[in-house]
Amino acid sequence: MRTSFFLILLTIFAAFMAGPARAALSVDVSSDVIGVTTGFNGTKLTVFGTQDQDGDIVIMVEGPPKTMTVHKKTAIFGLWTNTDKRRFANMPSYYELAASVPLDEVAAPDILQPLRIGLTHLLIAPSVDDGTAQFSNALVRIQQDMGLYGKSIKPVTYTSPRLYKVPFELPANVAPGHYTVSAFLFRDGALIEQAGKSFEVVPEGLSAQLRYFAQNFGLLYGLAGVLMALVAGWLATVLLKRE
Amino acid sequence: MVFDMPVYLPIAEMSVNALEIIFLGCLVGFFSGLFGVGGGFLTLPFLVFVGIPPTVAVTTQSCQILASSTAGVISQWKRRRVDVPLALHMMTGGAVGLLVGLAIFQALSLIGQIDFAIALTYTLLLGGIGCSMVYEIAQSFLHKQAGVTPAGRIMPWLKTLPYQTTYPASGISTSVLGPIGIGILGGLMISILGSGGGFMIVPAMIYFLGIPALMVTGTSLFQLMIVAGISCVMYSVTTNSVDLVLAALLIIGSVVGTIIGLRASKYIKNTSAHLLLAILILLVAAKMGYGLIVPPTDPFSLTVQHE
Repeated sequence: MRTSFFLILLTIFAAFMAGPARAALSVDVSSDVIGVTTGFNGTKLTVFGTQDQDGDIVIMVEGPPKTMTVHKKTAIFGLWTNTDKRRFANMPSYYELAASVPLDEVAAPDILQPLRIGLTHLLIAPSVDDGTAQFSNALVRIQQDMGLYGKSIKPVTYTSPRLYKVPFELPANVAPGHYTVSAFLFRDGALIEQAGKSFEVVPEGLSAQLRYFAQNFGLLYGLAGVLMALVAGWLATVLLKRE
Repeated sequence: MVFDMPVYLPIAEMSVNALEIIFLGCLVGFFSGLFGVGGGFLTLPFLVFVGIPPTVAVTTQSCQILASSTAGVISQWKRRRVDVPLALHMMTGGAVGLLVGLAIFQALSLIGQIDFAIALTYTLLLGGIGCSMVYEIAQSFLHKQAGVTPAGRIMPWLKTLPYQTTYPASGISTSVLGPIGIGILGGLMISILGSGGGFMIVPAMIYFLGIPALMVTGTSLFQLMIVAGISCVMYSVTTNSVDLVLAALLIIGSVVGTIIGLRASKYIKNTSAHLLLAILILLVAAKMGYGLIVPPTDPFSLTVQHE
């Protein structure tokens, strides 16, 4: 309840602030920092904002870019093993879209493509057909199955004629890093306004400290592991003696 | 769900059900309590089934192996059943095996064949172990007698090799290359397969070196303890892939499991328990082998590079 009240306040505030500047579009997100703690099991996130002019709206949430490799298995002497692969640089680790009308009604593909709107526009089609398409399709499908890429385009809901909001879900396996939220306002197939916002997914608590420790003090981390194991082994013998 | 306790693994970068991992550790500990075998060879396939990247699973195993071998060494040490010079020579080989294993592991990961290599070797190893166990059980069932431990048969060619050494504690004399060679095998097993390799090291020590059965357990565990420790540190420094949260869950489970296993050993008939373990090993081997020969539901797999 408190969060939703806060949300409404924020929205009104955003609307008020947006007014004098005559910005046709504003966007904000329910939390600027999402902590990934040891018990993290995914979280919900609300993107909301104001839209001062009529038009079609598109919201895009993108996770930190990663290099991804897709392997393909084929049978060799009856055993299935990886035989072919393609590497994709700069792929968002998370990608979700919401739109107030279907994408093909928003604008033509040549307008959406440079804005990276739509899963098909994330991957630059090769000039020659070398079979890359099946790998990029697999990448999108696997990411969708893990809940990291949207399976469909989410609807945009209006809480009042000028206030919109879209709920997104970040699954348990989201990559830590810098996430961007982009809002686009289209009218008659042309982009008329654009707004952006970002949030961070930050490992917090024990898991984050352990990770930092492991990456920066590998030797000490390893020795800590050895110490933990030795103590556990010793404890086991003490417990066993009671048997 | 009641049986769901999500825990985020910082190095594997994924959320797992802690109870599932503890149960797995428990199962492995149960068998080691029941028979005194390591059971590490069961942990890795299960971790891979749960979805933990093989890199993390294999390297984290070294930490769990260290814990269980420490417990074993402590009890064997008190009974003076550790041949320290012999264990140190094996350990030297173990360190070499670790380095070679690390290089092989990295190379296989680079060309995307590590999953395949692990699945294939595990299918063959576990299949072989399971079948030989079933064979032994059948034999003892038919002959209705406890298996007689064969007398040590020192490989004659080991006597012709240089660097002949006497190990007074074990009462044997052999080339130092023998223990080193067996150590290398152990080091390879731990760094590529995440298993202590007791099921290969122990017979090798008995049949090739002629070490008395009484000294084998303590000595092999002592060298395993040191090699696992080195492996844990080495992987922490080089690949940053040891997950201590995962290790802690496995260790907790295995301690509990060992205690249950020891208690159960008073009630469970040895033969039926052996059969149970053999069936479990064969099931895991079958599942791994099945994954190799049956067309996968999705021939494509995705790996995301971190940083």
